[in-house]
Amino acid sequence: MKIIGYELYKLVKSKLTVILFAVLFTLNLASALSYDPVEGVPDECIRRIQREYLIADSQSKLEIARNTANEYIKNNAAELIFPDKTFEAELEKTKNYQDTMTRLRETAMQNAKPTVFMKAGSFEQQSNLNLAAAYENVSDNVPSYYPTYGTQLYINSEFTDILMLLLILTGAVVICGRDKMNGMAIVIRQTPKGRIYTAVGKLFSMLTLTVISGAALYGSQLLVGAVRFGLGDLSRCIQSIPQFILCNIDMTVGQYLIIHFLIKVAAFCAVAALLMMICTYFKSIILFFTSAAIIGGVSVALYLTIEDISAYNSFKYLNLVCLTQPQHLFSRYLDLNIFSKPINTQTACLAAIGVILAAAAVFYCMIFCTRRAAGKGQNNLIPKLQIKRKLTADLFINECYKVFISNKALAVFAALAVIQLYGFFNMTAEYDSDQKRYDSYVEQIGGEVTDETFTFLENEQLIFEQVNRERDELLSREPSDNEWGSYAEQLRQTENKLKYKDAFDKIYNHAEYIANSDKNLQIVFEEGLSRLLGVNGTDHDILMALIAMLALALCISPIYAADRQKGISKLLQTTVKGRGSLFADDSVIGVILSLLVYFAVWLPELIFVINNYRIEYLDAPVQSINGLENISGDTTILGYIILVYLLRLISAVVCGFAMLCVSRLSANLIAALSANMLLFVLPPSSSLAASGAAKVWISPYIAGTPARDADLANLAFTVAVILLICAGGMLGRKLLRS
Amino acid sequence: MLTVTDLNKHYGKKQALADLNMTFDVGIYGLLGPNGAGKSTLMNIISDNLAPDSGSKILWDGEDITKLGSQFRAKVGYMPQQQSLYDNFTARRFMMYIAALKGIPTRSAREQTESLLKSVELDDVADKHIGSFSGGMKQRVLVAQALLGDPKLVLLDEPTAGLDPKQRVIIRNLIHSIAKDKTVLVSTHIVSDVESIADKIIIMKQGRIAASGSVEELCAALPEECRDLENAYMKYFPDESTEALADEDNRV
Repeated sequence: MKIIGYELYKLVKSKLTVILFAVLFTLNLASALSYDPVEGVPDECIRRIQREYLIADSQSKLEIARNTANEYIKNNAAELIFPDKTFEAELEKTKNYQDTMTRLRETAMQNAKPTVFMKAGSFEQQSNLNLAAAYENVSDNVPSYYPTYGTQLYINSEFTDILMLLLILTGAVVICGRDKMNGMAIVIRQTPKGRIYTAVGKLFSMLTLTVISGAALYGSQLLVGAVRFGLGDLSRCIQSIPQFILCNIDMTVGQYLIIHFLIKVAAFCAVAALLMMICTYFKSIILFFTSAAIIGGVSVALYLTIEDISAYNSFKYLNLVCLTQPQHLFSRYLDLNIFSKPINTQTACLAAIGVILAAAAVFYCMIFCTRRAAGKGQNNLIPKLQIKRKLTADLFINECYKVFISNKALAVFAALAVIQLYGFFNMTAEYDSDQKRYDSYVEQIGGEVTDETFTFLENEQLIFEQVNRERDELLSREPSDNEWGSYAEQLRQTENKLKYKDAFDKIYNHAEYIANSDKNLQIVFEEGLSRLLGVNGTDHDILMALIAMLALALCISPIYAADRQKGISKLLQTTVKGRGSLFADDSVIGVILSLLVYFAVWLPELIFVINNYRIEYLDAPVQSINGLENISGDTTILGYIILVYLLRLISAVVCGFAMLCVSRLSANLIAALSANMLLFVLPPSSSLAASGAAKVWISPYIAGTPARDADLANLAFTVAVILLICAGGMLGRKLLRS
Repeated sequence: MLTVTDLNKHYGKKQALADLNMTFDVGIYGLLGPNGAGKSTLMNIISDNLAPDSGSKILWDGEDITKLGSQFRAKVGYMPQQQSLYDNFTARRFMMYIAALKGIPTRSAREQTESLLKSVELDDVADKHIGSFSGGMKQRVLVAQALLGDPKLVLLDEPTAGLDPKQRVIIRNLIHSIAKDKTVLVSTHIVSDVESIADKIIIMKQGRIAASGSVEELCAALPEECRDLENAYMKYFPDESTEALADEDNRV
């Protein structure tokens, strides 16, 4: 117990852990307080709607909601609170719950009947039988729906998940890595209780950190949700929440909120144990972070790309990402295909959490207790590159060796290159049929819209009318027995022609819009350009920005921080070139790293789009592209592409320099990495989790989307903070001397 | 010539150095004193790694070292107390790296590296990684790098810590051989390190100079039978010597 106590004490006394916890808790709270589920609708309105729901009967619920909303918002209350009729649709679902359950069971029983395509005892048959049985005990439930913003804030908390991950990553490094770094590992391990007892003590303190962090972060989400919006009647069945209407478990909302927390924290405990195992195995913090990033990236990729009902859905659900999202486990009944046996997802995932936690804990203890746990990086996993050349006294070349080889920047870049190459060779040109038909029209009338354009379009319109008449005529008559062949062929031909109607309508409307615009717009091939410029969503750009920032943080953080940590800074600073010249050379290396990362991240997509899509009419105004009509200024498409890529390049270089300054200010590598992760990696991560964050801090600039996602206030704030960081780093020398 | 005038240094309320006034000319100076006497603080200030309190002056050939900047650092060779090295550098690469930082041309750097590694008897392991070195070997690498570039002022902080008797003799002889035209400051709490080689001994106590002079001058006041530097040193730390004797009695 004493050892556990001391390990906890060491953790609590770590300034980095305490400061990071405070910062992330504050960020989490700010996010919860600024959560705006329906823009323009005050919290009080939502709370009243929910309160009045409790006492109203089911017939008047919607009317109550509308009337309450109208008291707070004078115009368009219904459209604001009930966009796309979502509210009404969800209310309908709860009203028709019993019918839904009956249909679901009957369909499952029907599908469970053996056929020539589905043998008795097969996975599909068993799964259908299981599904029918699973909903037996919830069929009599009576869901009671009302706005669930409070519970949603707690249940769908991707931003909090990212903060939690950052916290346990840092915790793993502090608990596992600090003793190695300060040389205490060897001293500790030679004592009687310095191995298995200490390993258990460290594991216990890590799990304690995870539980306390989870309670603080998720607890605050729940509390804010309860205060701001209310949680409603906690004794109503879980199926009352639209997200869980197909849940097969008979439990209340209150019970689910507790189970949700327990499973989430247990899953993060499993992740924490896994991270401890990896951190203890690797000597270098950089390699640990790189491995953790790769494992995380692969997990996310598997989770997002595999379908729910795929034969490989085990990789989707028995996956670290899914395990930390219990809401997906309870949203509906699903079986995993494990060696052709149907295993309930919930059972399998809960078992997986237990197995990962136990296995990671055991392996961690084993690795900690073996000889490899000691030492300061002498036996690196990645073989050192032996550069076969005569040594030189050129400072720049020596610094390059130190950064790329000694500080593992080359290893990080190699991992990035492998990931990007894999992504490049798996890129697909997502052309749907309608888009291909649209492009066939652009081939005819692309470019400026003239009278000839409309002549063509009107002719096409006439052709479509004719084809419609032919189709109507065909459908209205009954062909004779010997006409079936030609009849069917004619019908098929008309249907094929009519498939172009949607594309035609789209280009016709676009041509009219262009004709009425005063900007000399043109009709262009849009698919490739839309992909390149993130017109259909900026998630991909934000993801690339996240990868770039992560790679830069891993490469640049050690440049100064590692020297400070080793204690060699003092020696370097005593030399002629150990101050200004060294900083200048390191700045140049920082720029080189930024350029390398930039090209590795952004070039593959550009090359792919150029090779697989039609990229023409680049001299047309950028507003010619659907989705970019509101871009201000007179830029051509080519000019806008160059601007976006230039902005990404400048942002990468500036962020790289700022990271170097952070490294210069940091006392050790863990502090530098944590600070750079917090400042530069967390924002794009948050943008992926919550789209509102895409407009904040550096996210729009590193992703290249400021024209759509940023404003002057954000730009001023971003520039001010970057300058502050750089000034602090430049003054770092004076701080070190005093 | 290095001149220290009115040198004071506070860490918060604690005074690490108080009113030091010294002049260092060509020769070997031994800084003796227990842990916490202020030796490393003095070394850090002279090497311009630490700022002294205002009013203090460190002059090199009459000019303030903070104003000289890199010109002063070009003349300094510094060996820190901690064994801070790059474990995955070879000894040779580490020496070339320090040579790069000292602005030494490549050809000259290679020659000096070979010569110095030979002087400290590390020439046969020059291409092995420092991470595989013993503590004594790392210490010798640090001594060697301090002598790169033929510095005029050499600051050695605990140069023989962790070395066996034979290696200590090698280092002492090396220091003696290079001191002909240099100012060498050797900070240590091992009396024998400096007894035979130092031209002048400075005994520090609680941030002040307790005594200074040649070995003969410091020993002059002692009886014939115990006339050595160790006893002269102990004279200024009577409490420690009494405790040492009491411990000895208890063991007996």
